[in-house]
Amino acid sequence: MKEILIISLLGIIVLAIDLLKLRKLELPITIAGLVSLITCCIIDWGHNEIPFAQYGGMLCFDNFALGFTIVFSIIAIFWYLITSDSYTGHPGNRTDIYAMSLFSLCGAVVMASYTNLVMLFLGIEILSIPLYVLAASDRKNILSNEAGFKYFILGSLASAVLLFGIALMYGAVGSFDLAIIHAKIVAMQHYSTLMVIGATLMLVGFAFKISVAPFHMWAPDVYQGAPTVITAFMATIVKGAAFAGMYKLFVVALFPMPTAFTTALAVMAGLTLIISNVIAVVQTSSKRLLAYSSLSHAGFMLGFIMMAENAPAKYLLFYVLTYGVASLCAFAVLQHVSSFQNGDDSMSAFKGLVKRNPVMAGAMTVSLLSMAGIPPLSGFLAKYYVITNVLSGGHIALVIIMILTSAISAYYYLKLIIAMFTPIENAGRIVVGGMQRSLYILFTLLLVVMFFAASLLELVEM
Amino acid sequence: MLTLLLIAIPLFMAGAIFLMGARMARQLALIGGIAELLVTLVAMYIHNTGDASGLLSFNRQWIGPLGISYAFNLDGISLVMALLTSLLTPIIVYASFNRTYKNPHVFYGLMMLMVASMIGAFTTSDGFLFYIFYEFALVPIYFMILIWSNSENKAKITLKFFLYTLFGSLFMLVSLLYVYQQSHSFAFADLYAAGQALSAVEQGWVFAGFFIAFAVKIPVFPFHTWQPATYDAAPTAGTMLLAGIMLKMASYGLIRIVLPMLPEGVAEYGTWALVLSAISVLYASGMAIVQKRYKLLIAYSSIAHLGVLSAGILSGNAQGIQGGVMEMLSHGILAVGLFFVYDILESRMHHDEMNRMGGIREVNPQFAFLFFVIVMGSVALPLTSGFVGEFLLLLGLNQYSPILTGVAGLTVILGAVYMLRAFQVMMLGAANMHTQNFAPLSNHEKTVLTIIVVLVIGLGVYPDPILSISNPTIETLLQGIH
Repeated sequence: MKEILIISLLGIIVLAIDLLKLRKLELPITIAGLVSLITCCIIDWGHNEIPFAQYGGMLCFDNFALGFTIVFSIIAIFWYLITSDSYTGHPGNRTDIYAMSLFSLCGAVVMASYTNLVMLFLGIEILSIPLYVLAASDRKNILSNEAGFKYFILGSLASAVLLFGIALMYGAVGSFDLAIIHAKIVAMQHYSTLMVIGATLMLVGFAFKISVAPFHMWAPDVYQGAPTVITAFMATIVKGAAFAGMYKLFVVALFPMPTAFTTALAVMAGLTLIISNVIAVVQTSSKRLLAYSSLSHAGFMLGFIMMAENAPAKYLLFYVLTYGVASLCAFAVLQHVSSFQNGDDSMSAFKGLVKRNPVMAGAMTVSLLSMAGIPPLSGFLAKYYVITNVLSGGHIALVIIMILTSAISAYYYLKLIIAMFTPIENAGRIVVGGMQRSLYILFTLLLVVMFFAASLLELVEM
Repeated sequence: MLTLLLIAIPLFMAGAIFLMGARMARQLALIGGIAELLVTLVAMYIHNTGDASGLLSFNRQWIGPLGISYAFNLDGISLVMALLTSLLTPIIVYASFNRTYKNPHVFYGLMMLMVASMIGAFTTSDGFLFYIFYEFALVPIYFMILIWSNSENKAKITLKFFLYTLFGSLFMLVSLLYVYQQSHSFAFADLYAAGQALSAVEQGWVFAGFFIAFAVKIPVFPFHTWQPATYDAAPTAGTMLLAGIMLKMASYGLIRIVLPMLPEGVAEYGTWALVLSAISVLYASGMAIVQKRYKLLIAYSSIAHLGVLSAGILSGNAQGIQGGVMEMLSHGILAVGLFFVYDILESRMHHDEMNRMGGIREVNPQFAFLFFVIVMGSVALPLTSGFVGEFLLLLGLNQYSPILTGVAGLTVILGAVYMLRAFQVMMLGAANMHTQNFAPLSNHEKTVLTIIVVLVIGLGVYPDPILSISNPTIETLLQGIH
């Protein structure tokens, strides 16, 4: 109960602060609220009993939910801090964005903790509706408007498809409860036709939300059009939440899946990896490149969903955290770099960054290498967990695709790195605040430390 | 514990150099290199006295449920490889004293990072760690070339280098994971057992994955195309690190992982790898003969020698492996020597086109003599280090296939052709307008060349210390196979 209350109250408090003209307090209060949310999660850790099930058992804060809530909150804290200098021109916008993103975060928490398909749908909507607004929040920019519009239309369509799937599943089982659905599937030992259709529709709905091929078309446009800080939010927290929700649905409720589903997931993952990485190679806008890189990571994470039976959720959690930190760092650097050159986000905007701001160039290099999966950075381990799990399921073809596309991804990440290390004439320094600077250093360290501290992950019970 | 020290010293030095800034960078790097060498010598002494105090190995669990440990072991082969690294590091650092690199603290810091990961790859006894070190060594050298290269195309060349090697090592990862599916542990001993239990066909596929990874790095024809351009573009210290030490990780991997883990795979499907290696020898020797520039000639001659190396190792018998270990050490020293000669030429004449040289012996007989000894080592003249290694390699290969030996043996003859021709064109004859003002060697240059010459002759005359250290380990390795 606490977790949901804290996060939704926080959003309302931030709105109230704006009314009271205390805008300076927004950031500290948001951070304090999120820290207390993390504290609550840690206190509740390990109590998987009934009292932690809420709203008549429709939400349950077991370790799975708590773990994802902690990770979302950590990434959110980083996100608020690193983007805190992006609203200097329009302090009024900040309140809206803070409140909106907190409500969206609330949806993310619901998606990690639902035990009932109704809550799943509510969670997705709470997550998405503020995002439609956020994507269009740069009102004067036509691309941002397009992004919001496109996201809204396609997002609602996906929600509708998902809802239809939920309804059919209810028709087949007679309950929205994950445990009951699971029990029914185990008792029947196979899917009825209605269940197959329902599950397929839910899969399609989710595929839209996590933007995997062939339902990914909206993502590059939306990621590129939306303001960079919002793109960072979407690529990290929103994507993580969608995966948490999907993991819970497919691994907890719809397990054991018919083999056709596993095959479908494998095909989707393979397609996503190939399409996103190949298209990323020819991008000239670094923002669009990062959007495609985000797609390719979705392809990797899909491997966890596919290998439901032997891929513990903590590895997915590790992937979300690792990718979240690296991606947040990359988007933040992009935001700072492009805001210094009138919003230019092409590759050449990064030229000479190593001279213009060595800390940012270093952090960007490390996070790109981490996303490419070069040891000893945590991105390597994250990919390693996926690959071992998929390999143990015997999907050699998918493993080969993962390996080959990893090499392709190294190519475009390196292109960005090479740009940063290409010297240019008379480039001014890019100055960022002390907090941003220390955050960049923190991100760099985190990506290394998480690699060596990976043994701690084995102590986590989810 | 000594093994940890070997990794910790360069890591610590890397940190210290980054933090201390530009002023003391190369001195610190030299101190680090010498400390590294001392520790290695101590380790060799302990190894030879048969000390069983456990100083030479280390094993702590890292990610227990996944069977990954911080496991290091300095046995005979690893000791020679550690010696190769720690002997060459101070020489390479000292050799680059006559160059001033921009931002030296970053340059030498990266160099120390690279040394740490190479030592790690040579001493670990855990497959996962081997992969990590093997892969990570790529990152510092990539940036060393990207930032300090003078080449116009450096971005393109380094990109090709990075992607090529990354691509190769990803195949190794798949192969490694395939065996790991059976062993559920990355300890070498478990991997050996699991690998040997695979069917011959499976072993063949796993071998293919490993061989692609190593063939890119050794490099073996047709996976070598990144190498000449990268050697050419890299700053001299980077080329020395690459040719002298880094590429040995791959041939070491053949001995340490492929041979004991996949004996049947090598026996059944190794022929094509051996044939590729032999083609590599012929092709690279031919390419070396037609080169007009000294650095590229050395680059191709390197491919030729390493072709013999990989063929000899893959023949899988005691002489072949023994020769491989010896040749890795010898080739490392010679490569550093030959590239240092390039550095001397380049610093005086600002080019390395051999046709525009000539008569340097007349102007500077001392330099010509030292260079001559290194050339002799490179053409494997008896009583030089090159001879011991290549002789054993060919001996081992001969047990496998006399025909291949005939082909690979051409390396000695063709090597003599291109090396002696190069020496003749560059050093002999009458001095011309380009070479008549060839400045005498500085004390610093003399020292480096003398050290290398002493090592080349010393190891050639008395190779026994190296052979006797590695021999027992090779015996054990081979017993594990049969």
